[in-house]
Amino acid sequence: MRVAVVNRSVVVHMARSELSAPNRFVELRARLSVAAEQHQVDRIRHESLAVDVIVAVENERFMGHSAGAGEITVSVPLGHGVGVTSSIGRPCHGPASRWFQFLELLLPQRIRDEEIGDALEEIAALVERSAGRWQIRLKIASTTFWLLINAVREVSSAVRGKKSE
Amino acid sequence: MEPAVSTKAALLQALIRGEGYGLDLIERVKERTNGKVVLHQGNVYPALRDLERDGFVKSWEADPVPERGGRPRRYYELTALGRRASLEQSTAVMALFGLAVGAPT
Repeated sequence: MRVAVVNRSVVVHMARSELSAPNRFVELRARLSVAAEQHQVDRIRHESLAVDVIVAVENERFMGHSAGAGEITVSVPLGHGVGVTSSIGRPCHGPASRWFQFLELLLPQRIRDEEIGDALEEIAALVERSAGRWQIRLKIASTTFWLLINAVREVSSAVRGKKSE
Repeated sequence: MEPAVSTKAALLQALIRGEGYGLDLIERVKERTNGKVVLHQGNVYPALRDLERDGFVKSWEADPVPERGGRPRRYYELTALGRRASLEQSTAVMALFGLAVGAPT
């Protein structure tokens, strides 16, 4: 496993066999720490980056790319607005943070911080526990559904409140 | 079968044990009831906001947390009104199940 910072992105090279290694998160975090220190990535960004990188790597495993020989490459930009591309030339649709960053555009600030934050925390815990792909996808789907419902509830209750004043 | 308590009632009871944030309160209720009451994420946040609007809880944002992509947790705490409502509620429920001291049998 190699971790490097290239063109404002963290690039992880892993042997396919390493995708299923039990200590992959420990090793990945250790290597990310070294890279973050070398490139002076602040702690919060570094930690959230670690979650993004782990989710991207897990996505590769879920997509069945741990089979066979060779290497996979995962790239996560350092800047705001995380986008992830994979070694096989198509975007990884797994990373929850990317999807939620899109949803954030539609939601009030409080819902963004509270509900998306809690969902990301739960997804990070699922990833750390090596939960199944379906569990993470189910969590993303149910969170998306309830975020939109709750946003409508919030807006309608705010409108009702204003009308009754 | 319907859940034994409403989401708001469960949240008030969970908050008696101290401040907490959404995910933490869901876990607290689940643990305390041995998994018999599981709050749904879709109901918890609107219920917390309603409780705050009604003056039963107050909330504040803590520092950003790395696992949340740098977003802050929103903590909730019972107000005096919320504490009183919560205690009245637990007394009523205990009486209903014949657990209160001096409850008629």
